[in-house]
Amino acid sequence: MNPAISMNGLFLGNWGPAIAEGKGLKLQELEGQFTAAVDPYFFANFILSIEGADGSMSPEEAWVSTLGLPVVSLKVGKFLQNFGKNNLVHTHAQPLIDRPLVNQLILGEEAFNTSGIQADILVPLPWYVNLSVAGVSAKTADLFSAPKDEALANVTRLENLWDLTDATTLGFGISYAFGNNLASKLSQFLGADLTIKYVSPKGRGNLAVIWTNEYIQGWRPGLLTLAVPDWENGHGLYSTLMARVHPNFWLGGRFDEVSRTSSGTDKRTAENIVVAYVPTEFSTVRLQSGLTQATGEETKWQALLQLNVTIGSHPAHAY
Amino acid sequence: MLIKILSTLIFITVSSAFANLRVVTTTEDLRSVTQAIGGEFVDVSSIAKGTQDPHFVEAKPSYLVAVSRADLLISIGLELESGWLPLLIRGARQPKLMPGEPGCLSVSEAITPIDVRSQADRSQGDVHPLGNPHFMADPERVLLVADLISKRLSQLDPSHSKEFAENLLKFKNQLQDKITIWKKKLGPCRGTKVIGYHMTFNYLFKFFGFEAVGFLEPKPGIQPTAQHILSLVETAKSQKVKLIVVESFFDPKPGQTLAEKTQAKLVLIPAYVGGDEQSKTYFDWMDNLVTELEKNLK
Repeated sequence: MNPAISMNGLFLGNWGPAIAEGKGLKLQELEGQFTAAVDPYFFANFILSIEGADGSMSPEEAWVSTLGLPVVSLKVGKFLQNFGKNNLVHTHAQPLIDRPLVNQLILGEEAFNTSGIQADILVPLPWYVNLSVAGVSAKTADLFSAPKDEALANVTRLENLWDLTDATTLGFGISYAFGNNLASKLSQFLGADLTIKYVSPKGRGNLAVIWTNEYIQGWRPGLLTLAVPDWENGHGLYSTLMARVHPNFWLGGRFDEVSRTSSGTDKRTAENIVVAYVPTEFSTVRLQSGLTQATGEETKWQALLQLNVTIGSHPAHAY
Repeated sequence: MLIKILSTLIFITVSSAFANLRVVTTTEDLRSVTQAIGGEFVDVSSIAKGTQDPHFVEAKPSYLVAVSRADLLISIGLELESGWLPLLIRGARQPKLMPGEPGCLSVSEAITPIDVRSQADRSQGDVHPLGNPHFMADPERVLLVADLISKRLSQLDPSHSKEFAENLLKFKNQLQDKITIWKKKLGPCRGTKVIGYHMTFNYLFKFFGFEAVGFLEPKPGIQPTAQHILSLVETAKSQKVKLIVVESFFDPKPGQTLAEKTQAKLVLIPAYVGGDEQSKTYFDWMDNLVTELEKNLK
């Protein structure tokens, strides 16, 4: 009757001028997860994160969802918001070591993660259609930082997935979020994502190719008038291609482009490649290298090396 | 207009009242056995294909849609599907398919597993502490699985319990006859020493009295290494191993290397029903396995 307990450890080495701070070897993050059915009606998932930089511990996610309702599931607590494709992916499950720039610079360094209530509806159509609607705190979400405690933001996502063949799927999602910002004006965010995934239906660890593309746009009126001005309009995209070329090896790369407007326009692009050695489901070593270009700055390179290990219960893998 | 809507609703109600029981199984072996017992009164589909390793199925949302429309979900259990099935069950949002409900059946409860490890950790590889989940390759255990499936089908659709009981009897009689034939064919080969790839065929080896003296995987779930294959060359020679039995969806190269360096023959066989063209049903698959083993032991 004990919950399924697992612990993930990320150990990182990073070098190069593109790394602003924290060069060298470090403990990146520890993440402990406890999951179990509470009773016949509820399922709980608590994830505690310990930051390697300062050792601070915080609940990364803590939510309870319903088990007893047909078609719809309700989720209450603090959780990564169902906005776009990458926002739901935890640090250790990212295809590359770092998050896409558009997620970091438009949705926030720590992802779009706040408290609220979410309804997920499995729409009865021949293909997979999931409609997710959430009312969340606009005060605690960095994306909004609304001044009033009771301010609510809305997050909506419609996700479709079609089986093109036994081995290939096409996924398409659109997301929209709105809520009051720090200037008490309405911020809005729009996202669209497209994923094509091929996984050989033969055996174990054979060829797999995943191509993920995501576009996010944000409008945050009034933030230039604050005492500490912030960007008002931004948009960006990434395109990631990952391929399992051997049962134990993945190769991949990602292109990033983000543009944000405050007093001027800050445009950044990046190109990264990664090679991952995956001896088992429970450990991965990844080496990533890339170039970053920012408006008015020289092109900078970075190199990242990460060891990713999981102990404890066998994780179920999201598609 | 009102009459049209009412007649549509009546049609939907009446047709669902007479609809077949919708069953989703996790593997093709279970699909085949369930189809044999359920006959024309069930619509059965399998999530994993026979060419796939059921440990590593991707939890595709289309599977989730299929599960959400099922009346019964039949799985193997013993943690075979633990990497993907819990997500499908929760994502399907069907209270009647939750563990413990009549719509959720794990057939491992019908059998006594082998290879149970009371002291297990992952330094031993990807082990199943509760026991080896590949018991569908043991026809005698499948007799017990068939009983359990029939009982559950009758519980969910009592109006066809008579037909399920008749189909069960027919299936069991046919399987008993086949067991006699298969044992006769491979009976003289009892004591044959074999090397496997994964522990997929441990039940089959035990059933026919074969002795597995090693595996190409150094530990369950770990890819074969050159050093390990070298150590198996010594084992195969000293133990006079006759067969290297490899699931046809695995890379045959490690087995070929070992076969070239020893007197043992390499046999590639489908690991599950649907694993090749010939293995369309449970009987086809077992016939296929027995034929291949017999052919290579002559």
